Amino acid sequence: MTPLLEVRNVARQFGHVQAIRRANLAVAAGQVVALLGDNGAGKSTLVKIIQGYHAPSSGTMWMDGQPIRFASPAEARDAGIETVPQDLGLVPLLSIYRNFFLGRELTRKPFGFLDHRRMRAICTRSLAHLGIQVRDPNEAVGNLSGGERQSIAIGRAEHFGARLVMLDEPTSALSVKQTRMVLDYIVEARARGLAILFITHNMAHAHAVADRITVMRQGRTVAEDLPGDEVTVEEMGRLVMGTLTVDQLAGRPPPAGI
Amino acid sequence: MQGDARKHFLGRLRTYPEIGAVTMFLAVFGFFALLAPNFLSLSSLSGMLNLASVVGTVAIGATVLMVAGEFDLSVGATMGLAAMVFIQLSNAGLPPVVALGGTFVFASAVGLLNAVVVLRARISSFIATLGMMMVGRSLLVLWTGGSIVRLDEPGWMAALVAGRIHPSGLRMMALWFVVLIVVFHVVMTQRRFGNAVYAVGGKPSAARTMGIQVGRVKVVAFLITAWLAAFAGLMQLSRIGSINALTGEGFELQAIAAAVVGGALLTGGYGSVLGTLFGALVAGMVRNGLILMGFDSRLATGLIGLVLIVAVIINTSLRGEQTS
Amino acid sequence: MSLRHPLVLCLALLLTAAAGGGCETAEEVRVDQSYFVVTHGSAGSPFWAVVVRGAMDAGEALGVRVQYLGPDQFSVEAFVSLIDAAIAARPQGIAVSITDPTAVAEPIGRALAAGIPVVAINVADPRGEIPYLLYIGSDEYQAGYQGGKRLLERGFEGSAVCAIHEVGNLTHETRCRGFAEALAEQGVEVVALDITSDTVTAVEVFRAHFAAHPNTGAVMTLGADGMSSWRVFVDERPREGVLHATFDLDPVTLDAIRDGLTLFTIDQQQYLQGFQGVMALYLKHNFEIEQANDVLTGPGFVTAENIETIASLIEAGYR
Repeated sequence: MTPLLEVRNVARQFGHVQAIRRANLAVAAGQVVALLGDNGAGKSTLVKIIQGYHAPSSGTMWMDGQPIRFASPAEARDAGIETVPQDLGLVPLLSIYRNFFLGRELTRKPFGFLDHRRMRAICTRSLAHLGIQVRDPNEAVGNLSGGERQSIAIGRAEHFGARLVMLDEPTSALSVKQTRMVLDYIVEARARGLAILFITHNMAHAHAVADRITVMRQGRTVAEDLPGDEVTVEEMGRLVMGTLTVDQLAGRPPPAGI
Repeated sequence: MQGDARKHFLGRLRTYPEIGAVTMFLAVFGFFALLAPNFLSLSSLSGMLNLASVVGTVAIGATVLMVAGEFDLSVGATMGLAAMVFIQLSNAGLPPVVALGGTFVFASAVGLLNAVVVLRARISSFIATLGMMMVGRSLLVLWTGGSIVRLDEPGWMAALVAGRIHPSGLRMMALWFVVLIVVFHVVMTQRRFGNAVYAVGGKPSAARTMGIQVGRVKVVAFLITAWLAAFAGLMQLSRIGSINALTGEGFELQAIAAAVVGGALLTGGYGSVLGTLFGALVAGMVRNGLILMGFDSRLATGLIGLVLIVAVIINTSLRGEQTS
Repeated sequence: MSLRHPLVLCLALLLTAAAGGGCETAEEVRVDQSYFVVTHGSAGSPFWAVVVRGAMDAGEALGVRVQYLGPDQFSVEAFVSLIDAAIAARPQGIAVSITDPTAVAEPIGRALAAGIPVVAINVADPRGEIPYLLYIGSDEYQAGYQGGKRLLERGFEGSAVCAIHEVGNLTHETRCRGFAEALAEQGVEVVALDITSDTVTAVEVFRAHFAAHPNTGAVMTLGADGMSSWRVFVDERPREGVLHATFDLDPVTLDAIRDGLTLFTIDQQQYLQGFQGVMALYLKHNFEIEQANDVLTGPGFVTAENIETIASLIEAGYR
């Protein structure tokens, strides 16, 4: 199966700083890929490159088997790549439906006034369709739980045609119950055919939902496409820390000379 | 379920930022209507609208800018300087339309300058515009020479901006004020720009993520504020025919007070132009009503201060956890 | 005492100073006398220019040198350093405004210790602690009081208003207090009205006040801002039979007196503060003459009768 997005040998430097040396990644439709790595491993830079914020210094990216190069985040978004950042791209003081349509508001002819009624209706319907029940689309996002906010951010991305959703540390600030809710929601989204790149620190959360594991360390992809159910949480941690290599994991002796 | 219905009702109320201002407005209005003789007379009502107009016009700009997460303390000085520009162009014999154009070109320059200092130099707008206020005041003192400067030919422009439109004393500036309230209420609630202003002030990072040009929105908000301050300066000038070095002094804080009574948060992202209308009206009502009741008018400023505090308490308690 | 006589002083100067100088006549001795006038006001401002004029005229009449020092922009620090500069010049006397009693007490003490006579002009020490010779200036309470008396003499029905455009300003509040007490003696009520310095607000405040107190018979404003607000108000809503008086001499006030809208304005005749200030120092230095009490330069009244004379004197720089 052709992956929805494939990244090969991508590198990026900022001045003299080599943020990414060699990154590889692939994610297919209906698949959850966990991107693991310590702080400074290059995860966020890689995400920003996929998002179109930065261009790669070298290397290639493909979407549906076609080479791609995004000049701006808007281009990436048009191609169906949405990111749910840590702040979720949600404004706490604004209502759910205004957040849902933020930057993409619906207007009415002929004066271009906002079509609040239609936005409210579409927001409620679309979220319900994705399995997210909101009490009142007028409610401020700040009143919702962390899990609810996360779901709305992902639901919004899906509604606006995302085929690949990148979740940046979605569970980092959540309670156990809220985390369960978000993980369940990720599983449901996968069932609808969405490709999901799940960037996290938390091995247990990755283990719970990821089909494939990719690990970055010091700007390099050190493990790619490991089947999620064949790696333990403990092994994931050692891969991230660098105390275990993929070759060791596969049970082969390391090649001499390294 | 009654409890649920009540909760739902309160929940809905919370989403209206003008709730504190409307409550205070009704309370103060009811109080004076019952107790202050002649409070409901046409001339008294017109007077209150006139009183609210100049500071209220400045406050509309303050509201938009505060929602965008910034302040402008230079608006009072801008009022005086813009009026001075109009006087100079007009007294030099240029037609009123040209003088008006020149005044707004000047206001645009002030707005842009404020925006550039705040956004480029990354100085807090409170500090940057405090500095601009002091610079502007100093320029105005030097330019006016500290004395009263007259508009030679008030003409139709003055009549259009502040002429009397009703025997009760109602003036054009009250009409302009209400029109501006409606226009900017629509801009803030019914236009994409307004939505962007709320997002930019509420959470700039999220706004940026969603493709909103944060810097551009703030520049426009600074421009709107400067334009409205300039127009308020023209109202003042048209109303009394002259200005002096102190014209507009203190309006920057009165405008912020009206915006805050109207529901605006100092931290940005929240506020209402409609609320500001009530905020500006309440101050004028207190001043007017106290005198009609025969109280010492020197209490007015203090009472307006209390109204400010109570309104904000109402706003905060109804808004609940949203602000935290 | 005789030691202070010009001739004796002149001889003393010749003895102490290595450089020689002429000491032939008493006339020429006096030219070597130097007096300073130091205030918080810029010599360029219309008000202080008149004080300077008075001081210079006194110097010319007495044949002594007079220098005026005042900061261009109001600043207590700059003002105090100018007092220091005046003391350093070792003059025969200094006239100072007690703008900030705590700030000027120390330098004045130094001047007195050095034997330099000091008089206060324009602003007195409200605590009466600074031992200057005397105060030459107006008395705001008296000004308000006399203004009230004048309005009563003219006669009006009903209550009166004291329109304060700077609530809390000590000068304004004192004027109002004097005004109110003069009227209270005749059982006339005075309402203190906060009209703010903003004319648009002031006009609505006046409107509300007349709605609540239609029997108001007299209005006192306290300076140019209050005056122009009252003018805008009565131009729009003429108040027949309401007497008006104000303070200070500015163009709007002069026009209002000419137009018959304003009965009189109260002036502090600041020329006298400069003139009399130098005169008092001269008398003290040369003849050890000390006046026993303060000199009130105001209130002076400008009415329709003397307005044209006063206007030409303003033009000439004496008022």
